[in-house]
Amino acid sequence: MSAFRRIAYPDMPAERLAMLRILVGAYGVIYLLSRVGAIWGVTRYRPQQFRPVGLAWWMESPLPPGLVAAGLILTLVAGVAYVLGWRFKVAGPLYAAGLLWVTSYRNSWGMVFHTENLLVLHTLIVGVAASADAWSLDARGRPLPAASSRYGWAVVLMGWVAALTYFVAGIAKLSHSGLGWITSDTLRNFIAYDNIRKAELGAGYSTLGTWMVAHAWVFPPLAAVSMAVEIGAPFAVLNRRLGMVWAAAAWGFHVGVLALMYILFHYPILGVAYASFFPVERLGRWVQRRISRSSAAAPEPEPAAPPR
Amino acid sequence: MSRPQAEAGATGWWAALVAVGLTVAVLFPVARGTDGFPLSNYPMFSKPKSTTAKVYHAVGLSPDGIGRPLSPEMVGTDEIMQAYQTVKLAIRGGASTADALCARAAANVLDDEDYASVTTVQLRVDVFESVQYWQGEKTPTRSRVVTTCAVPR
Repeated sequence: MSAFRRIAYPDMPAERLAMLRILVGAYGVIYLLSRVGAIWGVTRYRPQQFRPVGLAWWMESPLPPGLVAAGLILTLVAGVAYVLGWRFKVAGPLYAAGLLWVTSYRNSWGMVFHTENLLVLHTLIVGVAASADAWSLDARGRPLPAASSRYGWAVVLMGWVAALTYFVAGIAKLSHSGLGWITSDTLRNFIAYDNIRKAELGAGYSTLGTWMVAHAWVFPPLAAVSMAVEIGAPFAVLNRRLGMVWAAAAWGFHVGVLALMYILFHYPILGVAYASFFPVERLGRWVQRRISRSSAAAPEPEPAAPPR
Repeated sequence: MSRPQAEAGATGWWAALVAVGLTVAVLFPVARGTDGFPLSNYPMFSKPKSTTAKVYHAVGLSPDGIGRPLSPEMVGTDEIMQAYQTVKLAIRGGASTADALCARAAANVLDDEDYASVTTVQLRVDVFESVQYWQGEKTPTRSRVVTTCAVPR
């Protein structure tokens, strides 16, 4: 039991969870802003294309465009409060629910963007934890709390959920294809197929991946490494070093996917998906030091001229 | 019980509830074999795949019959996979939905100078041999034109 407590409820500094709130929140808000066109674009789709998923599962028909816009705006406002840690007990869950809603609705048109899954799950975990006890508007003027499992559990859970999503993907491959997924030409054929789809839909594709298709021997080792990253993912939470090694391997996996299939899993590629495996509070402290150093170096204002 | 102890206990229960709930939720699609959002069994790229590649797409034809794929924007999105699904669902939806998308794409082609030579739009299902495709054999092994419409120039 004590080993479980040590792994699942470790004491961690409040700043680590706070930094994750800032990273995950800022990433989500910027992502939503970058996808406004696509989110708004669904209002022009035919209602017959509507295939509700996620929070929209109960809907029988699409929303009027005004409500789509209202949901997006409310989510963005809550997202800014989430990042700043302002009234976080409300803003945290509200933004998490809003992001789930907006992405669910956007994914309800026949194409599920799995790239958004982990972002939504992480946002939810951070949103329901004590993530604004440091580096937030809520925590202004309060002393920094001591390291506690109150912060550690959410950080560990973020890593655990990230690892589980990879594990699930690995299990899907094993259950659908068995070890043949590694030993056969399946990976090569997927890379060839996915790039054809892109080329025949008038989009960019991977020249490296399409060149490699002619070299069948490359793919079984690549498939074995991919499978190892996925099936081995749950071990990442056992200790800090394993977590970092796995995060680096998983990041490399996505670099490979980008290079060979031209599929950008932006959340992992930018490293935010794996930030919980690292002492990210150091990044925040470094920024703090830079800010205080530059304000200390700022020139003193000129003294006012004495009255004549 | 002191206040910090009570808070720690409440946090522990809350943490356990969230952790167990999320673990079950993330694993649930594996047991059910369902793909959804944000919980999925990630079925893409998991099933055995042959070298046959079936592609649903919109193609623009110039008067000499030379075809070129239309970009995702022509079918109403800037996302490649959404474009693929849009064309696929329109084709599977029957003649009227396919015709409607074809007409919309033709109207978009009219507004785009990059497609100045395109006079006709087709929604098609093409089948390729995927490995041979990347060795230069880009002619479909099978092709079905679902609908054709003129660009209203």
